[in-house]
Amino acid sequence: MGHPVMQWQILARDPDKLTAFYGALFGWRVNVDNAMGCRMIETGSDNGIKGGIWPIGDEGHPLVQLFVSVDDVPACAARAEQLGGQVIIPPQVLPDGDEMAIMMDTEGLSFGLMKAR
Amino acid sequence: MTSRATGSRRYHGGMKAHVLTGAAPDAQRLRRVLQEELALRCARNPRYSLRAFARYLALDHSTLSQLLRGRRRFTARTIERVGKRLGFAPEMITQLVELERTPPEPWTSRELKQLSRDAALTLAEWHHHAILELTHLATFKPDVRWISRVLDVPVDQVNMAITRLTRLGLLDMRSRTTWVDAAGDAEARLDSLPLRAIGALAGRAQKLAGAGGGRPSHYSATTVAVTTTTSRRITERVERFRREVADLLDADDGDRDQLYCLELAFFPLANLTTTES
Repeated sequence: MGHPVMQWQILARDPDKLTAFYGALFGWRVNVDNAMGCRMIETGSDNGIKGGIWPIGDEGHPLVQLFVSVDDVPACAARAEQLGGQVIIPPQVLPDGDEMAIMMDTEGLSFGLMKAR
Repeated sequence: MTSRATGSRRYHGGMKAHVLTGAAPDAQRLRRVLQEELALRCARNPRYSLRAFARYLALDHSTLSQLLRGRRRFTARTIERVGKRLGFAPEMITQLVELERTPPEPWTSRELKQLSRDAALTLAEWHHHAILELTHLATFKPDVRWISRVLDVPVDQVNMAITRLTRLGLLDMRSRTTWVDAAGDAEARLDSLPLRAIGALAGRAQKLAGAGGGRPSHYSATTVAVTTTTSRRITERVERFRREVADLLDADDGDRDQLYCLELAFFPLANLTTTES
């Protein structure tokens, strides 16, 4: 089954401005009807991977994170550490049941591990 | 003059020249500008060569080749020479030279800064503490919309707080129905959050920096009752210590091979009326 990229997430200083930008450019719509209040993007197509926009505040660095599907989030996080990565946010279970962790690779890029409920 | 984020052009004294505008310049952009310029010249004149371009820039052709392939760093002299030849503004040349002199910030350093900001904001903004407190309630709902409504804090603020708390290891979203305040036990949590936050920062910083293996490290924290007079004396000593450490660092002119985090914190935990007038 492999480990496909399941989801992308843009970390934004001004999420409202950014959603308005992409809404105007691509017609993307935002759905916040979820327990984390995340701005999930509805692209209007079943193709492509899903994504969302997450706030980081003025102090953060805007970036895109990719979430990779894994069978066991804690085990994969531990394996990533063995390989020289770092755990940024240890494994957490989201209210919808998805499990995720945020890691940093050896280049200093952050990425997510995700196991869908 | 037109301007774009990456290498727009202007005519400058009859010579077509690049102008870097918009985002901050970097060596990669200078490299791309040179690659683009060479490609354009070759497109206009099929007989144009790397050697001709090197002659135009007053560079050795093998040096230019290595610069274009990223095998060699731009020196300040090269940037100035190339910048002037291609018509860069003087302040742009200065910026590029400065960037080349500054080594790229290691990602551990970036992450440590982020964690320090997390700890500072966790202490400074009341809703971080309040979110942790809410998790102790029997009526707690692991739903950001509910937390936002209960605390009257916007959803985005709650989510940023949750990100900081989980990054510091102070909040554990253990299951879809259970969030755990990992900042302290039920009895001590009100007083202990600042120290726990600083402790979490120290722990994460040590891990990020790969501390251990016999390298010297020290961490201690305590909560004390103190007179106003002594609190002022302690503040003065902390400041003196900070200056001493700064002097040590200034004198540390060997090859630096370690990354450490030094946190100094001495601050009131409660808003009590001072006994001194």
